[in-house]
Amino acid sequence: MNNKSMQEASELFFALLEQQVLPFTNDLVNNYNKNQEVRQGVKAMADAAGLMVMIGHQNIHLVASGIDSKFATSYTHMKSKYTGLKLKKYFYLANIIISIFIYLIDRDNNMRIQREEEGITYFKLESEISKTLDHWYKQSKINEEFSKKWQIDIEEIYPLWNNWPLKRGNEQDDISLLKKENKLGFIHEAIKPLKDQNLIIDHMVEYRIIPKEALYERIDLLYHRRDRFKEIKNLIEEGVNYGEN
Amino acid sequence: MSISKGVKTMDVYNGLFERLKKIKSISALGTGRQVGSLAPHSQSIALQLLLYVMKHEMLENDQRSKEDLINYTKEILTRMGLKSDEEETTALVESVIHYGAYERGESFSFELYNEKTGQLEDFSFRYLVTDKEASQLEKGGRSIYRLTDLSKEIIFMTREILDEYGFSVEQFYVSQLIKNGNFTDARGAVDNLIMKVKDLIKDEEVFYENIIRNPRNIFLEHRRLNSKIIKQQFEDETEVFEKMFKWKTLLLKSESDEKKKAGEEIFEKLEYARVLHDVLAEKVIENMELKIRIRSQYPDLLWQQQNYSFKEHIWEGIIDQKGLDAMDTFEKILAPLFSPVIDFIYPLDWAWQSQQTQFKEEKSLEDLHFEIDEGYQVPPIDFELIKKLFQPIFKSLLYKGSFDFGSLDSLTIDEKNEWLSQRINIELLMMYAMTPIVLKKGEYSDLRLKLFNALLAEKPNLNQLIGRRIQAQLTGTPIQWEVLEISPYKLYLEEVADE
Repeated sequence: MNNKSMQEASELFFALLEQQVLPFTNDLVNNYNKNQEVRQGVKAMADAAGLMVMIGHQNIHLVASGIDSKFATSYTHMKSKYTGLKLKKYFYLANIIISIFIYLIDRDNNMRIQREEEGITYFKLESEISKTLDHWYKQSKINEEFSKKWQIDIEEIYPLWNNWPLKRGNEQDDISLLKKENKLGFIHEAIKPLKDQNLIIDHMVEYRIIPKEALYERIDLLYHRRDRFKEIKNLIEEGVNYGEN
Repeated sequence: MSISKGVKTMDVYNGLFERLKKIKSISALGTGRQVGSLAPHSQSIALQLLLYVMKHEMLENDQRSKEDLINYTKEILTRMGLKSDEEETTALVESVIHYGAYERGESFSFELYNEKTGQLEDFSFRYLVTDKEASQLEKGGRSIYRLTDLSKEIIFMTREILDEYGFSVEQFYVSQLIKNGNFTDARGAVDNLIMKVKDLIKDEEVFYENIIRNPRNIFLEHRRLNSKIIKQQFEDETEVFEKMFKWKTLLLKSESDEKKKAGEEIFEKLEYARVLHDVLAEKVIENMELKIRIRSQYPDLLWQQQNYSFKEHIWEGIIDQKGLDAMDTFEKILAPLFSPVIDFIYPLDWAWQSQQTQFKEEKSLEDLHFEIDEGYQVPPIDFELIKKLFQPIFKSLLYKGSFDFGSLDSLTIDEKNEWLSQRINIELLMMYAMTPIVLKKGEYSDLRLKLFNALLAEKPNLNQLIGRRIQAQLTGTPIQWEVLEISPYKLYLEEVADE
């Protein structure tokens, strides 16, 4: 690899580190598309750092490739906030909330739908979370497919969520002022990693969460592709103990 | 006077009573009687009955009696998969014909606010009336029904939403009103025209975005017409605009001052509508060209692939149903949604530098013909400078076994400026911190090894470092220069057994 390619590759890599997402109109991205050496260079740097370069329809993204990334993300920041046996369930709950949010906004067939502009309200998300936890809580005792470990976690998370009031304080309260020991306040906490990376608009006055285009691109790239789906399926089934009680 | 100013002066109250009538007639459809279990579907069935009558009227078919309608309702119910109860079915048909008990034969009647009189006024109407010519009542024939003007309007109103000729219809309507000098009604109609064309522009924009997201969306039922017909349609519409503008001088000459003013306002709005119409035409043609280009140049994008989604396959298919093996698995699924957060900040002038780069490129665009192949040349890396800057770092690794980023704070201003003189200096430093690297002798494309070998050539005693691994920890002191901040990284050496 020559010096020029190396320099272009590192420039792009660092620009991505700084910006996280770059549009195709960016000159550095142009180099990437034209020059295979630049592509290899960027990939090598990303691989070494446990990162992944993804090419969307309009943007190029740099994201953590899994849990072994050398870099902190807004998500790992959240995780480190909830370490230790007692706090871990908060992190699990946050994961459930993020997943349900993505489930609610994920669109079929890449079609633009109302939700993209309107977003999901905190209340809709809250009721979906409650519904899901109820379902799991009831099912985990009778459904043999649930793993033992999952059952134990659900038994901890279910009361955690249900013992919280919907929100704390009077009606005028801004969500950001709510402490996390209530449902809406914790939703706000849980989606913060998405907000910190500019993937959503957390509209605290209207209690709405509006996904941005960059988030849709990532969902597309991560969960809509055959190869990625296979990978995720393998991850899920790795060392699986479904139903082993 | 500006064009937009004319658009803003739409009077909210103008025609309120008439509008209320339309709304009422739609909302009261299918509510003439209690229809029991059919209540949730009464409006849908009632509309289908109106369509049935219209179709038969157009074909001059007399099968439009109450019995015919009851029979057709049964067909509708079967089609919709609903249970049909004789009594309810009859009640539903009767509810379209009369308000309340059929025998009483009452019209629908409501009190609505009339903005002109400032009072509530009675509004009575029917959806169906007896078609006297067809019924032969004298001979004892049954009542054959036909649509009233109001129910025709309901059908037209709902039809227009589906109709891609909507713009033409609206435009035709405007032109008729203007031609007849009916400027009061024309004003509202032009407003509708503007709204319509804005909607259509929005449609095209959404369609474009959808294609960019997924090229297979070109198969969406967006515009069924082929490009030739659409082009023709736009030409026709443009012609109608031109025709209307030709009337302008003619019409306004003969009118009173007041009417002239109203007329001028309308033509101003019309001009705005025409500009929007041109925008629309451009977008439609662009999208059609995009479709053709994708089909001809990138057919591979259109191959049917199995679509996976988080919603269906990951959430509904797996997690929601049977959970995960353990909650920790969520992490593996969600972690890649997030980008790394860097913990150092570039000097400000580097941000400016990239701005300058852009300027340079823009300038070269003007002289495109002879600079196109050159492009903008990135300044070459000053490798000698890199060697000079990194030599102390390797020395520190060699003698102390570690190097603290914060120690660069003690450099002189000149030395700091050397560090900042090219981006690659700091980037290379960060690369050592980011990922571990084993120092090896030889030719490598990794810039870090390249540098090591270059230094090794000059300082042979660095060969003691060969086979050692450079690691980083956040246990040092941070770099805190005025223009540069880096987290407290500390490089240190690690033994590697197996190299």
